[in-house]
Amino acid sequence: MNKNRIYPAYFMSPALLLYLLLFVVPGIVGIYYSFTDWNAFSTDVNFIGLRNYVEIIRYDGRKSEFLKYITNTLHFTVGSTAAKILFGLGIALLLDRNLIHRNLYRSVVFSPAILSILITGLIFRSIMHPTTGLLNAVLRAIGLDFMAQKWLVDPDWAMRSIIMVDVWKGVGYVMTIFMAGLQTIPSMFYEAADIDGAGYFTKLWYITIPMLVPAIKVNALLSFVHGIRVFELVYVLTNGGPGRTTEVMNTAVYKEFSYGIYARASALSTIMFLFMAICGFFFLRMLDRREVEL
Amino acid sequence: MKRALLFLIVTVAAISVVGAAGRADQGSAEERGRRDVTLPLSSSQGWIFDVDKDIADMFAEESGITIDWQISPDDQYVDILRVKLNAKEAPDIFMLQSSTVNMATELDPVNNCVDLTNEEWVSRLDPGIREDSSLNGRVYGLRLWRISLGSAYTYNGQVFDRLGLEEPGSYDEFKALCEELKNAGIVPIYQCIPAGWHHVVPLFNTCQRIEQLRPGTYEALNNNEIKLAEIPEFVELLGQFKEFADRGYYGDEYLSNSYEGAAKAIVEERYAMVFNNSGWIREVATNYPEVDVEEWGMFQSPWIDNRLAGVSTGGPTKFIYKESDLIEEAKAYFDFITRLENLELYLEKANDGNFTQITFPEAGAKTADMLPGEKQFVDFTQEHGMGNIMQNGVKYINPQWFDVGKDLELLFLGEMTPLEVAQSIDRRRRDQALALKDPAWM
Repeated sequence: MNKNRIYPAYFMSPALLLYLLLFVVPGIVGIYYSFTDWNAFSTDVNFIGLRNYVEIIRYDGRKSEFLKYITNTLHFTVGSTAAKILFGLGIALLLDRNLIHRNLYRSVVFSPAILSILITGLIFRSIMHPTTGLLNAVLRAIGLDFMAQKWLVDPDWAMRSIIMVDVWKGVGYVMTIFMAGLQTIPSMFYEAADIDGAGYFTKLWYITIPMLVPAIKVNALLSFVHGIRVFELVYVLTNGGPGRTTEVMNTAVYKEFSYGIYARASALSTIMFLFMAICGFFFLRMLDRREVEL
Repeated sequence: MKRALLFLIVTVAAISVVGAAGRADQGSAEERGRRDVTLPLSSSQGWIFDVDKDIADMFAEESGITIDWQISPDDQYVDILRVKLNAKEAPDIFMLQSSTVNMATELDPVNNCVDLTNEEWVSRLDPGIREDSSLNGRVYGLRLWRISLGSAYTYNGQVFDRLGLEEPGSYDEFKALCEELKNAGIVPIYQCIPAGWHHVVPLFNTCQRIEQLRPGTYEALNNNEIKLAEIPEFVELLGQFKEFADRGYYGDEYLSNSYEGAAKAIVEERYAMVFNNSGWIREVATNYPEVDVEEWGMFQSPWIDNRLAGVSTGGPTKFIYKESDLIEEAKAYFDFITRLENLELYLEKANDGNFTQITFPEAGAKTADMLPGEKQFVDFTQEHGMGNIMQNGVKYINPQWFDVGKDLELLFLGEMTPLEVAQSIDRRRRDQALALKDPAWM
């Protein structure tokens, strides 16, 4: 190793300093403000302890609506993460074979990932309209009337519809990471399994999935963080409706900010940060047990 | 030596990335002093008409100042504007509903808006409108939007005639009327929940009835002496809304109907009526000339047996942002649009020509062209009287308009009770009052 060609650690310091100033410090300051009554109408900022957090859980002695936003966020996160990993892995396994036009199929599956979320939301809002939307029109035209739903206006279907759109948009990205992971699995394992008479699903369960744990970990973590932070898709598709059945934490943060109640918005953001940190830590530990070292 | 030089280059490069943005800003700031500038104006999509843009084009031709229209959907605009105001990044000109109550609690005009009291056009503004665009005697906004006769249920007269129906004078008569319409296969009331604001209008535009039954209620609410959840008539009103939803008087599509689809739906007799401003009947006449709108009528909101017309002195108003670098340019724009010839053009063309008068009396009025339905409504108003609608008389109602819309949606879906909706409105009033350190809540 030529030590003259390795840059010393202090070369990171300008970028690290910028990162600290623009990301870490505002985050810490935001956590501090969540314990105050900071708002748009007064220059006085007073320390009020945990009152904002208490109001997020209970308000006037009743269960607060913010708890519903937290459960909606978790519902969206778990649902879209699971679906993206399942479908992403399935498509990656299908397209890992020697198919004609394999690259074309990969491009088609990946292309929604590069679209703007805003445009995707606006288009699907039109497609999923219960009376004039393309989706219900096609279902009715092919005799599947029973499958036509009030996708974005039925409380039972609104969150599922948002998850479907998110999965459609993100599955290509997940597929790409799985495909990269599949390339790293040595073929000798499959050859050995074939000699022992293992079937397709046996090889999948005992070879492919354990070898793909790093890729599953990456996809799960990225999807999880994306899910916790979701905002644009919900805002454009339903704006938290019908009623507040699809309201999530970030739309609540936006609403509190628009009312000028900055401190409560900061408290919600702090809760989101803690969620991501705690759930992410345990999630990664859980997946570490299944990882196979080469 | 080489490493030190490389380190210095990397540090300078990192800092210059941040500095370049500032230098770009300085470059643009020098351009704003010239007349060939762009003046951003933000508005909700329902508040701007083609004639506004035509007048802006004329202004650009004369002055070199181009208006940059930043239009947002109705259900998103207020949130977007409030976020921008709170972030101190508001556009140079923005629009918001005026009324003294709303300006004091929602806008904070002293800190956010330019004082326009000494502008020439202020003296020509209708005195009542001038007062509603003011706070503590200082004028902050310019409103051209029509002076409204109030809102009412406008109905398809041909349907009513065919079924032998009459305008209801009470809630029970209203319910019976809707039942007959439903039995005839026509959805009685057009509701459009996705708009976010429309289904809230009949709620607060009926509350003058509460003030009539319990004089001093508005003041008691403003002084935090009573809550909405403690007013039986308000909870009863919400219960009546819920009853209509349960009986199917809004139909099956009310969760997906658009506001713009109301006229077509009623002309085609799929629906019978819609609650809208009294000038809406003219939009139907303009867009559907084949329909005999002379037979159409309108009646006052009969919820909780109300007979009073709900008067709204507030309306979409233009404000100039106090931190704007283009205040003189914005004032020049206000001067231009308030010239008599431009006011007359606005009255003639705004809302497809369906305004009968605007806020500058010198522009005249088109009351002689009133349709029978409008005349009937004016006569009714003169017979039964008028009252101030709640959002113009009670603090902390207007800022939560769209949240009340979500509450009503949950009410219709059975996810909230009428009492819970009232408590939810009270909770948000309290939040806003505490944030503003309102003495009545401290």
